[in-house]
Order: sequence, then structure tokens, then C-alpha cells
Amino acid sequence: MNRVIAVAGGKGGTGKTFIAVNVAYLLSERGTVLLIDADVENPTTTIFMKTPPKRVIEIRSFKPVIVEERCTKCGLCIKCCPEHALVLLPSGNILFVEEMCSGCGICKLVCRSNAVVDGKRLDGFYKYYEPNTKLSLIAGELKPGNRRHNTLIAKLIEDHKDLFERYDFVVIDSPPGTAAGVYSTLEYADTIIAVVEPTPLGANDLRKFLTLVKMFGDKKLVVVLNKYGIPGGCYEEISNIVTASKATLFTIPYNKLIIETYIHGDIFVKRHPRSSITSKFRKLVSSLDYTT
Amino acid sequence: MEIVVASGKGGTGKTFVASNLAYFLIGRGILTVCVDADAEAPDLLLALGGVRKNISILEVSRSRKARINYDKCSLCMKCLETCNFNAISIIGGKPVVNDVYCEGCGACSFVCPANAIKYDVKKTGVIRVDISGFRIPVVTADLEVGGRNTGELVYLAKEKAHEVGHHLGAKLIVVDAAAGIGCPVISSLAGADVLLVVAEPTPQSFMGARRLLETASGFNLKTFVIVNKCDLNPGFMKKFLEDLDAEVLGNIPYDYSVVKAYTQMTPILAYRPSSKVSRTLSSLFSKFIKKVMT
Repeated sequence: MNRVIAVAGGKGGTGKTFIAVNVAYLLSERGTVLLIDADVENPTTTIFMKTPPKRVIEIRSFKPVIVEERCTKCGLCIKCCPEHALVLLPSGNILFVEEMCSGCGICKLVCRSNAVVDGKRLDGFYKYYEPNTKLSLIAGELKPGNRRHNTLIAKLIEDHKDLFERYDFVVIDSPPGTAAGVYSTLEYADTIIAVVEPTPLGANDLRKFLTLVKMFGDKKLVVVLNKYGIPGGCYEEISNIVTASKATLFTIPYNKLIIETYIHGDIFVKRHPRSSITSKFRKLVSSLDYTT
Repeated sequence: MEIVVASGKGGTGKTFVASNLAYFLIGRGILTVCVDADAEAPDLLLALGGVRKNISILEVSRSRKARINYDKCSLCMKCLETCNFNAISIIGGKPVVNDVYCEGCGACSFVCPANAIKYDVKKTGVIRVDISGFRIPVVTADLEVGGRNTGELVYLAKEKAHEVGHHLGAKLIVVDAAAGIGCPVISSLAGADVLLVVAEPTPQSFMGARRLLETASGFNLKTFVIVNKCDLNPGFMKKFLEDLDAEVLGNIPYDYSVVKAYTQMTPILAYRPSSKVSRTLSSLFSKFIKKVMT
């Protein structure tokens, strides 16, 4: 059985992508890895690939197109649209506000004169990378201006979940936060890595994230305390949260070399194989690989 | 006037800038109401000294979720075929709704021949108004975990902030936006006057800032960029500033005392007023206020 690991954590900028990319790289020394970047609002794993995508596909969803000749101006579609994306103009014509539309399709269902037909709205892209034979990346990317990131994340996972079994490991880089999109990235994972930073804000967001994790009963939880050693960090508070949630704790120190490597878009464990930080990553990865 | 602090990428220092800006403004006698629009992970109150006094807590219940009455359900599965959000799956031979994915749109109910689907209204989240430890009014949007109506909650929080502002005679609303460029960020940008982009000199943050500016381009906002932790990557700075099509207000150096200030739940301007970071912030905010208030 393959192992699906979601890297999440609540707060933005704690190091989710950093952990996900490095864990994926080390796992690729043990087997084949599929990395999924589900932070569709800002998919930065792509920066670490150093190669252009092999393939890019456009992701489109339903939007209504109103055929004027058939429309009887009955107004039923306007009345039923839950997002108020259809507006009746004083002229009697119907205005469609694309930004508001959720793509639910009820306007088409309720129309008695078949005046609402399928249009396609561009939501974003899937980008496929194959940096080497052991590691593949699929990055979801939201089109700027599109509001439906939660739906796109759910679709990204749903569209690729049948691929999971072809790989020894799947690593999902989740977006920050605790909303429906993050839930989608955790749904098929058997292990959740929560990346946290040692600040009161980090601790606060970890607490909220753990209430999301509780919606699933059966996941293994690992907390990675990143930027460990920052002076004045709230280590006790985080350690208490970890103990109370029966999670395993790993620490990654705050280190200038990490920042330098990150800034250059390099994968730390690849660039610095003998560093003590790489040894820490190896320990983390050993705990995730139960095939050995 | 509504000022939105956003970044595209998480962890660049939105809450750091928003909390210090609010503290700075109050210190200059400019009454300000803050909005924490990062409803999935709200922290602004913590950065402003925590809760001094809670004024109100409003529970928002506007999330419609489909509920199937199995006494009426004929197991035709039309609902499952119709749902565009994958919110219905077959469990134990029956169609089952997953609330997290349900948009409450009404499509399944419309197609159900047995009239077996009704809607429950469930909790979207909470909007609370507090006076922070530093006597700054903060309106916080706090989404239920697994929720999806973040944008709506952010609109309501901003509306509340304007109401509070009107009551107090406050001139400014400072909105601390969520990471990213999705629904809650778009709701933060809509109706605002000024966008303050907090970036750090990394390719990851550059990507986020660029995507944010593209998202904001439809909103006609006065836009400024602050480069936080500017000394992390001096080589990147020149390219960064040339490529971002927005006015750069200034740079903030990296300093450990920022983390220490966070630990004390105190804006750095109050914690270490004479530090280099604080002096830089003050002159940057003075410049900012002159630019946006004239």
C-alpha cells in the first residue's frame, strides 16, 4: 500500500512548501513520489523544479450562456441563482456576472425554455512536471480573479486520486488555512504533517487546524516545529499542544543556510546532503516510510 | 478610507504590518478600526495585545447544506449526477451529502423526483468585535473549520467595522487580509481604497505579489509595496523592484526582536520603539499616511 502524506498547518509562511519539497525529495530516494501542489492560490513548489512543465492543461467549469432568442424573460434563473450572479437589467435583458457564479448549474436546470446552455469558464490550470524519473509534480494554479479556489482544490485532488496507487508515496502540499480546500487535501491522506512556527500566532493557528483534523478520525499526525530556536519562541505552548493531540514532534532549526537555499529555489536536502538539518529530515522521512 | 494589507504568499508579514500600522495611527490620534479578514487563521487580535474587552460576538449562520430525507428517497441517484461539487457520494447504497463540499445551491433538490431534499442552515462562522490590549477596536472574522463561505464572512466583518467606525468617528479601516488570492482576499479588496502589499525578497513571495497585483487590477486601488525582511536577499531586491509594477514605499530590515515582540503580543513600535525596525516602520508609515490622506 502506498502512503499519502499531506503537509498543512493553518498559518501561512510556516514552511509547508519547504517541508513538503524536502520530504518528497528524500522519499524519492526510497521509491516513486507524486508531489501535488494544492496551494492553488500561490503554487510555489514549481520554483523548486527548475524545469518547465511537461504539460499544462486548462481547467474549466460550467458557466451559463443565455440564448436570447429562446429566453422568455420569466426570471426563474435569476430567482434561483444562489450567488446572485444573474441580474435582470431595466432593459429586460439578463446580465451574467461571471465573478459571482459558482458553476452550480441550477439556472440551466430550472429554465423551461432551454435558453440556458453550457458555457465554459476558465478556473485555472494543472501543470505537470517530471524533474526526474522518481519524482513527479502536479501543481494546481488558480486563475487570478477567480473566487473558487476551494472547488479547484477539491477537483485537483479528485481528478488525480486514481493516480495515487501508481506511486510509492504521495505528498500533498496544502494551502494555508482551515477551510474546505484544506479539508480536501487531508481527505485521502493517511498522515498529516502540521508545520508550525514557534510564535503565539503559530500556536493559535495550530489549535484551529487541529480542530479541522479532528473531523477525520483515522489520521496519523506529525507536528514539525519549524524555525526552532528563534529567540523568545513559545516552545512550551506548542509542546503542550503536541502532547495533548498525541502527535509526534520533529524540529527543524532556524538557520541562515535554509533561507539562502530556499531563496535560490534549491531543495535543501539535495544541495546540502551532509548537513545536520538533512539528517533531521532523514529521521522525519524514516518515520513516514513504514515499508522499511 | 479602507486600507487592505495583503501579500499573495503567507508569512511575509501582513499581520506584522497591519498591527503596527494600526498602533502607529492611533498614536498619531487617527482613530482606526482593524479587521482581521484571515478568517481561516485569525491572529490580528493576538498581535495587538489580545482581548482587553469583548464588545460583541455575532454567530453567522448562512451556510445552506442539503439534507436528504431517506424516508422519501427513492435511491434514483439523480442528485449525485446533478451535483457539480462532488458533494454527494454513495455510502451503504444511499446518497450521502458531505457538508464540507455542499454549496447549498439547490440543484439536487430541484432534480429530486421524490422531493426528499431540503436544506439546513448551518454555522458559517463568527464575527466578533473586541477592544485589544492596545485599545484598538478589532473586528475578527472567524470561519468554522472546513467552511467555504469565507468571502461572505469577510464582507460582513468589513460591514461591521464600518458600523463600529461610524459609531466611534474613526477615519480609517485597516484590513489584514488572508494569504493567497482567492475568495476571502477578493472580498477584502472589493470596496477598499488602498492596497498595501507586503512582500519579501524571495521568488516565492514575488510570485504571490505578482498574482495578487493581477487579482487587484480590476479594483482601482492605490497600491504600494513594502519589502519586509529586505536584507534576506539583497541580490534579489533590484530585480524584484523593477519587475513589480507598483510603487515601493520602503524596506524593512529583518530583526529577531520582531519575533520577541510577537511573543509579548505587542507591536514592535510599542515593544522596542527605538529599534532600527521601529524607526524604519515609523518613517515608512508617515510617508504612507501623507500619500493616502492627501
